[in-house]
Amino acid sequence: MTAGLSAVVAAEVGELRLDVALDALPGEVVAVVGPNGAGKSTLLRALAGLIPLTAGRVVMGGTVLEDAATGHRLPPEQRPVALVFQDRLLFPHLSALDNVAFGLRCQGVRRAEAGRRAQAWLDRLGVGHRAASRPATLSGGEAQRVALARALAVEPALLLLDEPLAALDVEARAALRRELRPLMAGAGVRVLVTHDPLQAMILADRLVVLEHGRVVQHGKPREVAERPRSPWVAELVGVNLLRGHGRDDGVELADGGWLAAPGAGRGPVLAVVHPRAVAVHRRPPEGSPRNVWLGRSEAVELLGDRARVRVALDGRPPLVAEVTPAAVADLALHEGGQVWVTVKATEVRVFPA
Amino acid sequence: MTPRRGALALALALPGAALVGLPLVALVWKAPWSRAIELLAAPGALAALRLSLVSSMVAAALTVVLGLPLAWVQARVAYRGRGLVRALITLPVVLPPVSGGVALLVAFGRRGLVGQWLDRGLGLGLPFTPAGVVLAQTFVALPFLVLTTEAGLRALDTRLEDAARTLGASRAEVFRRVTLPLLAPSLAAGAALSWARALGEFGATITFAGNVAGRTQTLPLAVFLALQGDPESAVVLSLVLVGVSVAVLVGLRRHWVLGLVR
Repeated sequence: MTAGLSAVVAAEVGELRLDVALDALPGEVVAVVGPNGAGKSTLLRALAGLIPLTAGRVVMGGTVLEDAATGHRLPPEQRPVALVFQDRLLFPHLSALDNVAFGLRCQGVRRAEAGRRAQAWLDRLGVGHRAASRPATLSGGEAQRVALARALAVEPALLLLDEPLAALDVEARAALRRELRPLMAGAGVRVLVTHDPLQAMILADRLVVLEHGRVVQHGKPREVAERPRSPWVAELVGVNLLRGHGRDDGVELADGGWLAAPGAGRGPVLAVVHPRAVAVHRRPPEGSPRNVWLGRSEAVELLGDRARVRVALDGRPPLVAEVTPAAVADLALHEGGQVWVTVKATEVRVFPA
Repeated sequence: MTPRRGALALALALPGAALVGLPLVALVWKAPWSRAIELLAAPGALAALRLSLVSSMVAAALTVVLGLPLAWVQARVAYRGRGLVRALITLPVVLPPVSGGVALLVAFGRRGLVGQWLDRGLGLGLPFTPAGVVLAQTFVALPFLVLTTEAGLRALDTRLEDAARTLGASRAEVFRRVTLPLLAPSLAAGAALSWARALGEFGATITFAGNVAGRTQTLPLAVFLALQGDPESAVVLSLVLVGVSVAVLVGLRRHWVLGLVR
């Protein structure tokens, strides 16, 4: 690969040992997701050159940015990289305009020209009227837009975004999320760190899931959503994930028990059960559904016109069921207590682990 | 707090306030206002005032030039013996200034450790010269600049410097365009404090630079000398020093306290 990003990053920061391979084509948006402490921000800092690699190699657009084997290492200011920091880190002593013009000035662009281009970026992000304001007087949403403009203004080949929407309130987040997609278009590579699944699904061409400093899964957002390979990803995309051993017509679950699922295959498997395929009953269900368990209703969460109920099972990870709000009321699920859950065997998706 | 406890606290705090306030009130009260202009205009007084202002400003500028790199190393470089160096830097604050003057003499005097080389090699005699005055003042004032600036550097969010570098700023550019502007308030506070300290310097100056009227006699030295001949003149000159000090305090307001405590 010559035009895009090709990175193998090994780095150590405190307890964390990061060991990640990351490739991206020109124009591609890669979302890096994972739980807190997985090493997402560390990965971005390493790519930006703010922390040294202990091993590995970073190549961007045919240029070797860093190679631990040879000791070659471009300092951050010489990399075609811009980083949007999680807490923005706008320069407090500069106006919004001068913040955005900062990178251009460092590139040797004349003051007037840099100011003109900075103003254009501020306008494009809808904060042109705040050009003269100091960061301390900006709202969270405005500051985030200025921070984005500051990084975009240097037109980096590799744009790194660390939780660009995390610090915003719900409204500002929704507004900026809509605008982010066109801003991310372009010939460069964009790497987006987020813990917001919606943002990842909307913005990313590809998803990389990081846990404990390692990639546990990567692929197109759809693929990852359909075939989660870790409980964290399953929760991220809102499905139940069960691990076990395939026995043709069902799965022998790792935590004990049997999950009927035709065509389960053989060998280690993962089974995905969508919450919609899980039904909840107050009485033992009639008929003969093949997957029936007894559990306790633990928590109810309303999602628009649906409700999600978490049912604790003895000695097994809980199952999440999706029901109507009316069912929550009818079955008094919010009060807890014993319930039976059933899973239709035909709605279990099984794939090799 | 109940009114009674408030009154008690007030009563206990009063002696302290009085101890500081009364002498200043007395200074103003006893000042020979009718002769003030005449006493200030006396040739010796004017020369001392001029020397004090010029030497203290040069000393303050020197503390910035010498102190900023020192503060930088103390705040940013982790090395063995950093605590020891900090103790050494702080020493002039607590050292009796006379001892400081003696130390300067044995280091930079004509037969001093370094002074003999300066004297013979470069023909540069420091003791009993205006340059000696500046050296003595810089010696006692440097800690204020270093400690204030170091505190400012430690409080500075270094991630802002990271951000600047990812935007293409070299280390030098980061320092000039991010670090220095953010550090400016601490640096200004430190410089003002060290200037005030240099202005009031007495012990080290008289020991190292002597008390030569028109040459090394600063305002504090002139006050001391006047006290033996014309006490009224001493009062007026003291008031000038008080006025300058108050002006510095007002200029700094709260910042110097924050800078030192942080």
